Amino acid sequence: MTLLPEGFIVWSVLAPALFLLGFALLTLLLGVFQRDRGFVAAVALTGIAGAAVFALHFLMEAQRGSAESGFGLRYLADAHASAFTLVILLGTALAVLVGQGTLERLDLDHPEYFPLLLLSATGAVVMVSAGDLITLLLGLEIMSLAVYVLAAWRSDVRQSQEAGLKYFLLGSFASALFIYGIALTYGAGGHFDYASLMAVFAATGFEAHITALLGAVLIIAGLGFKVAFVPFHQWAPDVYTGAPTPVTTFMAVVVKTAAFGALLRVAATIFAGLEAGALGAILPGVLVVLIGATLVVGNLGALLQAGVKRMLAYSAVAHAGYLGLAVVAAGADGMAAAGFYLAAYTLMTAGAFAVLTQVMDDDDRGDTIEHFAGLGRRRPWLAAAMAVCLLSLAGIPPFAGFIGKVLVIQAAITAGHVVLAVLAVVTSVVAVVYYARVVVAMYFREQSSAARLPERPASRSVDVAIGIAAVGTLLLGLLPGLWYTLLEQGQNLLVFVSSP
Amino acid sequence: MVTFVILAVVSVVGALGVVLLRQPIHAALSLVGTLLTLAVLFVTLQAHFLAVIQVLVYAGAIMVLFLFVIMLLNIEQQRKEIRPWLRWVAYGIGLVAAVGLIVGALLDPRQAPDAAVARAALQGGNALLIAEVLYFEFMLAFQLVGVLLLTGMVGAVALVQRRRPPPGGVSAATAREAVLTDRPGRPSSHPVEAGGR
Repeated sequence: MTLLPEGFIVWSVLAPALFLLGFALLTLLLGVFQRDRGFVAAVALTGIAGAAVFALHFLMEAQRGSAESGFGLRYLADAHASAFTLVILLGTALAVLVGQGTLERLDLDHPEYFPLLLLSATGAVVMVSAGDLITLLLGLEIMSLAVYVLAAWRSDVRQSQEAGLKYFLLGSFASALFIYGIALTYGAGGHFDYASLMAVFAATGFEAHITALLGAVLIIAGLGFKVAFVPFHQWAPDVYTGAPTPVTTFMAVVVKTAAFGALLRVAATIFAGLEAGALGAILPGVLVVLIGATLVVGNLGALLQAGVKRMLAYSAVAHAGYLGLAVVAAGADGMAAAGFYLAAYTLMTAGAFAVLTQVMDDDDRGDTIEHFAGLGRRRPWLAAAMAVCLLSLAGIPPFAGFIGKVLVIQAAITAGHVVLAVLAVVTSVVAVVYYARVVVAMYFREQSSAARLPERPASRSVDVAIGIAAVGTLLLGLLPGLWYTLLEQGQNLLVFVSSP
Repeated sequence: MVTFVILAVVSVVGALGVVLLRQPIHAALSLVGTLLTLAVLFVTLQAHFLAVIQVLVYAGAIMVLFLFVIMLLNIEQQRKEIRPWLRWVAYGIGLVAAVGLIVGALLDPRQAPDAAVARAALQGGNALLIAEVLYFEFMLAFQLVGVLLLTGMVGAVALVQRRRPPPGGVSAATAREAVLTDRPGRPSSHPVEAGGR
């Protein structure tokens, strides 16, 4: 009988995920007898804050160069993992606030809402911390399963049912591709953990290149579905639009952060090892084509939309393209650049969707640009926050989105992908058009009588979420060093070093 | 070797049946064939524990579930194809992928291990060996599967136990109000219950 090496099982590195899981169970239990949903939301926020404390601790450890890991490098708590965990927790907290303020009004208030949100966040945290493909797969499934259900939350509306079913079916298909990719990778490398795979693929005697390459391409397809890379993006507009807006808020930020966190790690380890060998040039080529298509299709698609919600869905696809620039540069500055970009993206996207919940009516309809006309006069603060988020999404200085774009483009150029960088700059000019359209409507057009803003008392928790998002977007844009230095200087485990 | 070839042919034919047969029930039964053949394959490799588990879990529990679902749903024959050309594109991609895989496997310079090596690695497929891998090396993954099952359970309950609009087309909100006014002294503690099942 083989005994485990000393220090194999390190439960402490699981602390953020376990904390979230514990509070998910607690909110599940509270849902049985606690009618006051505000209290349950407060409990959920407590859990998120507790998990954030642990993640911050691991991030500080990584700053000191003593990043922790457990289960034989199968679960990591280094700078990348903890920073992405913090971004996920931020997105989840914003989604809880928005959900608390809107669910009752939208007639969607079921006791399983917050538990599923926290369970999904647990899966997301596992994904970005995973150090082997099996752990990654399980994290992905935990996260996705909860989001499938949440997308169909408005069970009496066809669009929501369609969103849930479409997301589930296409998501299962993507999972199948992903699992097949894992199987091929295992067949080629004989291991599941990134560290061993990286070493095997880069070793001189390695010869199963074709199998390994097929596996890598299928893994890109599986994760590319979750981040909505073109051509795996087709679910995104329908699902984002069909799902209730509070759920879309969560889906747009947390799922994307988790999938990119995992993709960056896989790119920096397994793909980097593969690229060191023969046929290594093919994989970056595949990624460049996907990312280029994502930039073009996402931005042009957003340009053509009449509804703001659907426009934001296409904008989420476009932002997957910009983040893709960091993936092709994952070995170098890409991971830190993406960590910054996703923090900014989480704030501004969640903020924009939160404003959307206040503008749309109780049936979750009415998101045309006409509904935003004259918002600057009627609700000046709401309009100002929306303007900050949209201008930041467009990448206009001094907001966080601008710094994020500069960082990822810089990373891509350093990694030698100048064509992609140029494409990103050109498409972000297109992006200004569709974001600015909403801003112009808010400030320079009169309110039309057909599309009136529904009369209702403002929700305090949604206002808090919008405030955090707008102030955070501004702060991160003015003082980017606060967050970026943590990402850049923190220690990352499993960094690929090419053997001579 | 002869045993292996027979078993391999039967299991591949079974797998093809799953994809090609039109009746879902036939496809499911075809899957049973494949799963059972795999179990026999495990026996020939001396992996008795795996073989028993294969029969119990896959051919037993999971297939019964499949059959129940198929029979309960009573799937109608819907054969309206939205984009007929898509089928041929899919055939083409599948064929290319299959050929690519076979070529890749043939080009793979590593020798397939012969049965003796596999047998030695499996060590008779005893439960201890499996437990060691499952509870030591993949301890974390094992725990995560538990979380995954929990998530699925919560999600299923959340989706199914939803208040439905009562017959007559009354909306869910009015139905809730009606129920609440019926029982003024006892505010319902549970929105599902309040929906009036």
